[in-house]
Amino acid sequence: MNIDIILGAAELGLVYSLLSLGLFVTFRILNIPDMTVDGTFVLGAAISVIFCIWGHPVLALLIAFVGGGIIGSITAILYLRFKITPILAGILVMLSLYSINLRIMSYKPNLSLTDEKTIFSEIVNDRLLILFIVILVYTLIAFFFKTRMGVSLRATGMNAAMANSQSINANFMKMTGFALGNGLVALSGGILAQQQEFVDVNMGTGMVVIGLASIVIGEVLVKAESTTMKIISALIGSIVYRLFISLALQIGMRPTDLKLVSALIVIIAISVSNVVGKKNVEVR
Amino acid sequence: MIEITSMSKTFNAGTTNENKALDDVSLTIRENEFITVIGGNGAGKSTLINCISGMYKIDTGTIQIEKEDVTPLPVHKRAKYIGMVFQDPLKGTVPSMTIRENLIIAYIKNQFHGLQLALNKKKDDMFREKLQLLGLGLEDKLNYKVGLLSGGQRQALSLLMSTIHIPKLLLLDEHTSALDPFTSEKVLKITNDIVTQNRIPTIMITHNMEHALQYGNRTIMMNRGKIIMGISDEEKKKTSVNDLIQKFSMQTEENAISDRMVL
Repeated sequence: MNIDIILGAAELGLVYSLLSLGLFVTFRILNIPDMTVDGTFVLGAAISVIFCIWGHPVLALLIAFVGGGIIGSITAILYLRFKITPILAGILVMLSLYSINLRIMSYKPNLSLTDEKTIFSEIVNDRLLILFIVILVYTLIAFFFKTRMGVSLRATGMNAAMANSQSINANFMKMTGFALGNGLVALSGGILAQQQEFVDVNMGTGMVVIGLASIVIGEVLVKAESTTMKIISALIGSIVYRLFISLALQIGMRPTDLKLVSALIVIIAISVSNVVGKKNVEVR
Repeated sequence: MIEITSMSKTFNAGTTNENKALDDVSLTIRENEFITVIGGNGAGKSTLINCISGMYKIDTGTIQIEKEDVTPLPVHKRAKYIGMVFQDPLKGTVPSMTIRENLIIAYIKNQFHGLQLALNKKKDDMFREKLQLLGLGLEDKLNYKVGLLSGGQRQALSLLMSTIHIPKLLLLDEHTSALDPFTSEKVLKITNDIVTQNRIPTIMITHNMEHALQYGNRTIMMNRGKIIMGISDEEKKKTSVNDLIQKFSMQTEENAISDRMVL
């Protein structure tokens, strides 16, 4: 593998690391599987492209984040208020998003940016900009988990009954977690769309698995204790995952095989950490 | 003062499994009153505590804490007044967080959970001081994950967490029943110290009649969702466990007979 391929993989890994971070919030902090992300990722990309067409590439990312947050809250409300199991709630919202995303994309299955300005237009080095954004977002989230709200969110995820008895509004915290997680996923999709100057309504398929694969790889590689380190392990996992994918392509696999590869990586990584690795007992 | 007036709770109402867990219970808890609750399985002891804490919505009745009606408030809002320790040592703490982080959560109780930094080294001294009072050596383990602690240590920590801000009412739901006898005694002693020193109105459920008589200044007995007997402080000193068992079986037999007659 030459250096260009490695750097390319790392760059893509950085963009997707925000997806992993979003999933980390719902899957690991809240301990709730959230299937909405396949839809929110595309939502973020679609919003991003549309706003670029309208001439606001930076605003595009903010709106993508907010849009993802709103969608995350809707899943949370279905789960918390109407008692639909979180997996089904996520799938239902994801399904609805398919139609909504097509509406946002003016009923076209894909859209390309040609001459429109993106955040990368006036930047010499795309990779540095992505690195900057990722470091900024990771720092903000690491800080968030040290705040009162962040600590309350973590406590809620691990023990909602205890959180409630300590005057934490557990339901509100869960909703916050869903919103934050999906906001980050949409942001990830938004940046990817501007970087590739392209959005496809099907680009979200398997994002849950990709994000999860990154998190699990990170957990196997980095034995993290603190939340900050756990977050960083998701970032490392995301880059390593992309390197695996490049490697798979290098050894002659077709791009269409990649979903299979992704699923296998998750299966292997989880099995390794459960059976062989004797991972630090995840006390609940 | 806490006033509970004609509180009732029925599970599975209208089905064949209908279960009247609390039947028109009224109870007043005065300042400085440490009440122990005894009763057989299914007597309604835990339901009583869960209804007071807000875990269960009550069907009828009111709960007033210092003249404020808390009946419509959800658990996290009632938590402003109420401290609670659960029966299961796993329930009162977050195992994957450190002792410091757990105490922080208790420390910021009732305060705005905003974006200000929660962890703050200045609080460590205060935490150490409080942990020292437990006498379990936890003061040197602020960075330990709570999951590494024993059941007794976790219950003591839960107790500290629910009283770090003195609550208007402390609810203890058989908080020592999952512990071995030696640890159980120790945690009860710590409980008694904290409750009496801070004069916290307390309701403690126990299965151990000896403990029921030994601790607190009032004992109530429950059966079939009703408070069937109360023993005052003076009476408690004269009552033996055998007396209690006798009274208990007498009361429950009477009920059994009357039930049979009805059937």
